[in-house]
Amino acid sequence: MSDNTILGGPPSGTERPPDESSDGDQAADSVVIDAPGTAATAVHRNRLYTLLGLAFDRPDDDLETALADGAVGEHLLASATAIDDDVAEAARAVVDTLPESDADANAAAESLTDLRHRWASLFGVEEGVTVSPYELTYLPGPLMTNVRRLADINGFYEAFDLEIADDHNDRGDHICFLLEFLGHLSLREASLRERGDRDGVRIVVDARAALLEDHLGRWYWRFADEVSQHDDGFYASAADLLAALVETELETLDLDPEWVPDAPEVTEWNEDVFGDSGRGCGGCGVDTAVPGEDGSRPLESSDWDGRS
Amino acid sequence: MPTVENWQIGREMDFPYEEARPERQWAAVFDLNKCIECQTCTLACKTTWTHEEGQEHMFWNNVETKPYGSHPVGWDQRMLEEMGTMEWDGETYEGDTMFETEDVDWDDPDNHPTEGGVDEDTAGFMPSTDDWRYPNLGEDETHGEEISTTTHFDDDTHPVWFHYLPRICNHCTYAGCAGGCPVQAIYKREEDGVVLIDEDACEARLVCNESCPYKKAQFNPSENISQKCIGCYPKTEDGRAPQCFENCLGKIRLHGYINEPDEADSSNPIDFLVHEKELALPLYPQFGLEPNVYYIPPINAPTDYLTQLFGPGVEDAVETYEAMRNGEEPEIQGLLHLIGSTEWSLTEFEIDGDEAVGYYEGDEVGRVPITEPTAERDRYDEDEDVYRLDIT
Repeated sequence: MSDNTILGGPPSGTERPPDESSDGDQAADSVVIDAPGTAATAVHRNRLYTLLGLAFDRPDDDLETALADGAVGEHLLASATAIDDDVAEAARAVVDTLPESDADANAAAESLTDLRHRWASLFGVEEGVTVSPYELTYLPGPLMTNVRRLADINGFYEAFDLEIADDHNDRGDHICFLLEFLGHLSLREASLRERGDRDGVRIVVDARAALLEDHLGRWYWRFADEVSQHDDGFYASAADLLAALVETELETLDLDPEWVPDAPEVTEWNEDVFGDSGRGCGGCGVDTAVPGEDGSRPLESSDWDGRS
Repeated sequence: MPTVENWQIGREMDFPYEEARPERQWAAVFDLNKCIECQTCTLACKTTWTHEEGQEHMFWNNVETKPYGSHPVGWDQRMLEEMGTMEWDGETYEGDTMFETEDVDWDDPDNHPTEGGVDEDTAGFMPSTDDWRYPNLGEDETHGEEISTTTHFDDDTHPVWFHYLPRICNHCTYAGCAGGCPVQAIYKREEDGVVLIDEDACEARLVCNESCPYKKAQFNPSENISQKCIGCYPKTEDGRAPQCFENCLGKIRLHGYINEPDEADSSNPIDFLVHEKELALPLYPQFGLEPNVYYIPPINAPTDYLTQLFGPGVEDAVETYEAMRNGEEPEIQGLLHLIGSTEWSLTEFEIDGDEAVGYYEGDEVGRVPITEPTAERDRYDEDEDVYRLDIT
């Protein structure tokens, strides 16, 4: 058959075979493939992500169990030290806010209760979610168009055959899920490194880099800022540790995420879509001028029906 | 001169490239008798593929009302006017296809699409920005006799009528967009015949916007490339029907793969409806692209209009559809019930007793009764002295 047909693969693919593609892409690939680290650092990283995920989750039995094990601070410090000096320093600040491991049962229960109150006042829906733990809140633009980002995050979980457990009734962009997922990738990396599976390592490191570049790396600093503004104890220090860890990660993986805007207020879902007319009016094209203003007819109470 | 065989027009025709068919060809059947123009397909596609900046005007899937609706404005009317007389002799098209109207010798290297100027070598027009502004133009506008208070419809073909026409890329065998592209950035995938634009190779020459008569290659000013329906290939590769199919409330859409007529397999649902029963027909076959979305014509519309739209097979198709409604075609009836009963593509079907069973590559993916229980009322109610349209 002649080549003179419309059948075939992408022309750009045939004209530019992979080994001749731009140097930039190659460089990025090789950095990722040869990402520094060992199986041991991957395990330490897993532990840090996992503990941070636990820290920002609503305090429950898992946290109680972890705190009851007096060694949690020790483990946190050991893992942080294995990663980076800044991370280690931030971890020390977290350990300082943990309840004393040799405290009596009453004191431990009290500090856990205190933690529950602190968590509720920061992240709890019962107190109006002072600090949002959700990525979509921090992204520019209306929520309507940001759902694609949520789908992208869920795609990461699906790609690694993971799903949110039935008893966790929450959205995939919750920071705890992101942290747990990064921890999971790190653990897989450790196992793959042990087995010498280069391709496997490349896949999980690529995924971690992509999640940091496209998602958590864009907004972790806003989250940490918000927490620090509303807390000066355990959660503030945990947020600092999160920031230190992600910054180290961005540096190690040579990533440059596009930061979300530094806006203190979360924008209304439809701001910029319907202009000043707001959520309830204007979208349907009905004139938002108040009836009667132009003297056409007197104002009636029914004019306000359905208006927001 | 590269001549290619186009079975839809019953003859060979000119085309800028040589004939080459993919390993299998992505195809669809839409039953227009069931479409209610809810636009769920349109939104399913829009929210999946074209909600970014620069894609505001794009509807890879749209549903328009015929005869007065069209998106972009007048896409088919303007094309028909440009192509002139279109005569059929039986099942052979005697007029010119869009590649033949200008009498271009495609074998002459000077006329090869790489040399540019191809947009003057084929029939077609470039929609203006304004033409994309009115996706609902002509919606629900009727054609035909005037309606009076005593008008009622007793025949299946209505004196006052319109019908809906859902449209996606036809993933044509002789794709006009690919035939026209001066930089060969558009190609058909060998594995399924899906027509794609390579975004890296696209140089925004916009010829595809002009040379696709269905106007399904559309320019994205933000990305400075043209884009089009991708047949949801990430789904179909896994055996799943595309978004606009899966979300269709009217269950009018069947996704599968079509063979050429001489290789038709009657257990293949698309082959069965297109080749064996000749119930599903291509849209404007006289354009010459061998489009791969096939329509079961709406029986309420007049045959002459439908023939212009779907070619000379309309009369027989309507007759077959009527026979199916009278219970004389249980296989068709079963298959039409299978459509939309599953989110899978169908590659095979069979009748098992009083049920129709659908398969995707050997796995059973759907099973429905051939006849659903119905109750029927008289069309004319003597007690109330009214005519009823919804009698079943």
